[in-house]
Parts: sequence; structure tokens; C-alpha cells
Amino acid sequence: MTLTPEAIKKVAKLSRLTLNDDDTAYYQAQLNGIFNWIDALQNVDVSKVDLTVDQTTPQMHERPDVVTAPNRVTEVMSNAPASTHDMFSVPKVVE
Amino acid sequence: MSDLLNLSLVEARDALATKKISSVELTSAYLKQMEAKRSLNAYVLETPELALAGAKASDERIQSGTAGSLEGLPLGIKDLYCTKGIRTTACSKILSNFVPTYESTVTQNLWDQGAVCLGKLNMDEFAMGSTNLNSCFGGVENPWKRKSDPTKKLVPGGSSGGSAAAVAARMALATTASDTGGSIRQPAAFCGLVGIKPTYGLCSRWGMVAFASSLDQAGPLTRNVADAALMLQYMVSFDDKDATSIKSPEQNYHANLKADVKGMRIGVPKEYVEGLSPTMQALLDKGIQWLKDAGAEIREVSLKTTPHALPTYYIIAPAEATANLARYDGVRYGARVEGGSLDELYENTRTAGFGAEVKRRIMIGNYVLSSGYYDAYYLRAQKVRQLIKDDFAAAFNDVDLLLTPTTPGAAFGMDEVPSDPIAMYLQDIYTVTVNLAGLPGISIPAGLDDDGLPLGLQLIGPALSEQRLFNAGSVIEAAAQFPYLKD
Repeated sequence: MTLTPEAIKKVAKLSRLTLNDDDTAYYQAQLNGIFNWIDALQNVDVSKVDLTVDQTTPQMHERPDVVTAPNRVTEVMSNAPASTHDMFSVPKVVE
Repeated sequence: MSDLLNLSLVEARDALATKKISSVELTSAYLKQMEAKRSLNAYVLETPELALAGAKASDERIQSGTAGSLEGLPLGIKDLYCTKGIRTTACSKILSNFVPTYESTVTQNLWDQGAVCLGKLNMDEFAMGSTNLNSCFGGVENPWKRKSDPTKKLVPGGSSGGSAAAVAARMALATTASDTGGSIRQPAAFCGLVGIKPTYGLCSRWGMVAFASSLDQAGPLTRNVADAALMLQYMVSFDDKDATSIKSPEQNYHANLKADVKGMRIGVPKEYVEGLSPTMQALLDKGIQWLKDAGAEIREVSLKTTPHALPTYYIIAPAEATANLARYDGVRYGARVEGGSLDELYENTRTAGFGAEVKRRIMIGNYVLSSGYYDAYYLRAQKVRQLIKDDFAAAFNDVDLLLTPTTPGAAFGMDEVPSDPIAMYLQDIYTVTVNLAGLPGISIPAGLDDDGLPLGLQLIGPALSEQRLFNAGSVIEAAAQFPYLKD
């Protein structure tokens, strides 16, 4: 498989990362190398694996759905880069 | 002062309990050593006031007979554990101003037992790396030196490079670390330390900055097996706040520690031996002989899926990282770079905030999860992961433990890091399988190479076999008589 510069730009967009042309060429070379290496997995026979019957992973536990730490607005907001009236501020989203 | 610094964790605990030393004396000695060895760049934040206040409180509790099990012992914390009111960055620019309002479960467990916090330790950004060079605070220097070239600065391994360098250079009695693909065991091998990655779910991940949630696990780095047993004992807990936390019967790893492998069947996977360097082969042969001499039966086993482990890891770990790191958007916490629109704000923040390795892994993750590629990559990798788990399960029908090298070789120079990411990823070839299978693995310092650098042997066990790993590790430790760095 070969990733084109357009494919790299698309995946960067999905990742919310900006790449200039130099970055694109850099990541294109590296990701192509990595995917060529990863592609060896395409030859592994996985036809008999049924992921729904995994016996080796312990069951995740659940806890009662109760409020444990109420009224922590100040704490929650304490690391906000920008806030107004105890709410996170962002650029205008709705026109 | 050196006398204090040369005590092990267990020895220091006993000296404190019998009032031969005070925590203030011990902690002050470590704070001085941190200052003296600052050029190694192991700590990214020192907390001397907090440490001394904690030590003083510990001394009072020891005097009043209310001491905890780790009372007054000064520890360093990997900067991936959220510490309440103390900056926690995961060594990423994007978290450079983050001050958690809560404490991770693992560190809370340690503080509850009276441990003293010396500061936060350097690491690869978001735990992604095997050199500690991917840190926004710069690399960490390994305190070990080549005999042939003592001026060459070597890497301590990664991602827990600061945690390892600090313990090796006696800048902490012990440290917390974390292991997603080898990040405890590889630095342990490079810095001549004991490092254990426990069974997945044994330590709570709550409050640990997430990289790959199905692989991440907390563990300690220490200067001997007994210290590792003591540290792990108090890091482990069942935690309602982590859905993958497991309820295991309470263990007393330290009290039950016994250097004993009599009658134990120990397998050496033949796939791990193929292509081994003569130095590592010689080390492994020694390990085999030590275990045989102590009464273990050595068997050759086969783990056929071994060659698939790294490619599988480099699909699953980036996929999970992509999801976990989506939270860094410049809105709720962390650094922010403004933009004209919300999308621009996200992009500007993430482009400026993440380093090259993190960006690479986020893009790999998004690619393997994207429409049209999910089945071919992510789903297939999950299936191969199941085959890897099955492989280990079959091997453990036949043997009690596995013995392997920890790394392909010794620590390399900071200027000798391969530019090809795949060559770098191969560092984790012997460690990554354990994370994929959720099993425990321990690295024991077992000898030095021709240039005087530490090398490690790894023991792998079935789920929840930590006591067995400590016991067998003690046999290797006793036989190896490893020359730990002294102050």
C-alpha cells in the first residue's frame, strides 16, 4: 500500500493537525514505511478467530450509578484556557 | 549522606521503623542528590518543600506509632500520574500548564501509606518512545557510562527514562513508572534496575494520563526485587473508578518473597532466541544455568505469533492513542492556540502542542480506524492479538514461567538513535507481547556487556503470577550479583 500526499493530508485533517508540504512529505515517507511493515499482518490466518468468545479478558465491573463528587464547577474550570460565567469559551460556532 | 542513599527501600523502611534514621534526614539526602545530579534531567519538577513537609509529618507519625507501611520513604513519580495541585504534563507542551485537581489512585495509595513525594519525573511525551528523547523537557541522561567512551551520553530507555535514571543515580529510593509496550522493563534493563509490569488491571489506571487504555499498566522501578515487591504491594488496589480494574485476592508480595524455583518449569521461547546477539545469547544462557542450578526445569517452547506482535501493537496502540488524545483540544484544559473558528482552534492547538512522534501515532491511529481501513487493519489486529493471547495460554499449559531477554542490547548513545521509526520500535520486540496479552513481566538486571553497560533478563508469567515472578526473579538476582551503581 502507498499513501499519497492527499491521503496524508486527509488523515492529518481527521487528526486535527496542520501539515505544510515539508511535513506532508516527511510523514508520507515514514507512514509508508510503517504501513509496509504492518502489512505483513495481512498474511496471518485469522479466519478461525471469533472475537466474541474471548475467554482471556476479565469481565469489566460496573458500579452503582450514583453521584459521587457533586458541585465541582470551580475545580473543573480551574484549568480552562478561557472561560466566562463558569463555562468554557470557544470561537463562535453558530452563525 | 552516601550511607543514606545506598540504603534499599526495604532497608530504609526498617531503619525508619527502628528510628535509626529520620525521614527528614533521608529525604534531605535525596533532595541534595537531586540537586547534585540535576544535569541528568531526570526530574521535570522537584517538590522539595512538599517533600520536607511530608517527611516531617512522617517522622511525627513514626514517633506516635501511627506509621503507614511506606512511612517516610522518598519516592519519585513519573509525570504521567496526576498529582493534586502539582503540575502534571506527561512531558507534552499541550499539558505544560495543567495542574490536576485530583490524585491518581496509584499515587494516593502510596501517600496513604506515608510515602514522601520528591517530584515529577521526565518521560517520553505521552509515554510514546523508547529513549526519553521525545520529551518537551529534553532527554534524560543514563547515569551508566561506556567503559570505552565515558563521555558519551547514553539514553536511559523509555518511556519511563526519568523514573529509571533517578533510581539508578540514587535520586529516589524508588519510582513509579508505566508500561504500554515495554516502558518499565526496557528502561529497567538499560539502567540496571528491577522493573515489573503487572497483570493488566492489577493497578488502577485512574488518574494516569492515558496512552493506549487496553495496554497501559502502572508499575515500579527499584534497585532490587524485594523493593519492587514492597512497592507493587502498595500500588495495587481494586478501584471502582477504573472499569478494567480487577479484584484479586490480597497479596503480600514482600512477606512471601522467597528465592525459589525448585520444581518450576521455565520455558524459553525459541522465537525470542532467533537472531539474538552473542552478548544477549550468553546472558540468556547464564540465566538458564542459574535457574537450572536452583532446581528449575528448562523447556523450549514456541510462541509462533511473536513476529506479529510489533505490527499488531503499532495498529492497536496508535488507534487507542488517537481516541485518548482527542481530548486535547485547547478548550477544557491544557495549552490553547487561538483560531478564527473552533476547527482552527483545535488544529492550531494540536499542531503546536504535540511532538513529532505523537503526531505520527495519532495519524496512524486515525488511518487504521478510518472508513475503508478499519477491517483490514484494526479488526485484523484485534484478531491477531487474540492469537497472541492464545499462544501464551497454550505455553502456560506446559510451563510456569518464560525466560527471555528484555531488550536486544544495551543502552545506546543519545546521538545513535535510529532515524527510521521501525528500527526504534524494534527495541520493544521482547516486551510488547506481554502488554498485548495482558500478562505480567519483570526485568531483572543480570549482567554487564563488554563495555560495562547493564543488560536485563525478562521473566513472563500467566495472569496474576506476580509472586512467582518475584520469587524466580530473586533467584536470578542472587546468582547475578549485579553491581548496582553506588553513590
